Amino acid sequence: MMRLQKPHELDDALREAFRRVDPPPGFADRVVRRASQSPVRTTIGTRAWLRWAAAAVLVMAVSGGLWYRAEERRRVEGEEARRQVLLSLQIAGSKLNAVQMKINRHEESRQ
Amino acid sequence: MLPEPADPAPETAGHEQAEGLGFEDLVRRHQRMVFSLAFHFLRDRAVAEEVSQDVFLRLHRHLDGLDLGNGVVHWLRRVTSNRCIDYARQRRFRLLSFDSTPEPAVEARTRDPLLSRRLRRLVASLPRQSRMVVILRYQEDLMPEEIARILDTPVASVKSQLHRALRTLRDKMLRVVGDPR
Repeated sequence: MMRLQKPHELDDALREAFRRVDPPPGFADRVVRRASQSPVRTTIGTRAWLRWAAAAVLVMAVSGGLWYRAEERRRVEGEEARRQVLLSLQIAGSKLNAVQMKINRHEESRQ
Repeated sequence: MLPEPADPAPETAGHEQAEGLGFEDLVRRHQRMVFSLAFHFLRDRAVAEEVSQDVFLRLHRHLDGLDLGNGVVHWLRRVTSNRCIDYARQRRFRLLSFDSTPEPAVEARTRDPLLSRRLRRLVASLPRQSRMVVILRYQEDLMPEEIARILDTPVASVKSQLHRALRTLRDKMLRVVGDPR
């Protein structure tokens, strides 16, 4: 074995040791076939499609949630308003009854 | 099957443009370079083929948007180097020891096969980044500046890694064959 006494001898020996080697037979054909089948493109395409679909679902879910929350608030506010109207009518009705009773009593005392 | 064109000369390869070349032409033209980088780094024929195929499939995917101004050879060297280093890191591709590592089945015809084998084993025992620096330097005959661009590392770091690696290799070789002094 060479003793690599001089600096350039190690360089030469490394160039020799790391010469390019041939790939396995049919390597290029296999690569071209895989590329033509576009498994990577398909995978990437599918992944991109899935990403867009997930984003769309997320946007729809958030929008739906916000819409539902707004509707719920509107419904609660509507019910509160209805309850207050009913209460007002109730109060007004009882007041009217009281006035009616007073009028009736007044008319009875006149007779 | 079409005859496989010879690899371009390293000094012109960096300036080569992919314009006008189809994907198949690019694969056939650069398969030796890509496979050899992966093979010398990973020292496993099947894994090197897997990594090399992945590199070319990435090229296929990025061919339309690739900035060809820097040359497809630079792009291939860069992606192959990074892919090999990532592969070694992720899979914890550890060599048991350089003495127990099986020598790859494919061996380039060399003047001194024993010396070449010993050197490949010693290089395999280097840290990942240093190993790739040595392979790019001696397989591709690249200067530290070009290696630094490929590995996205400062030139000074490449020079020091190369210097340290060569000193380690020389020391270990001397230990193996004995110091003549």
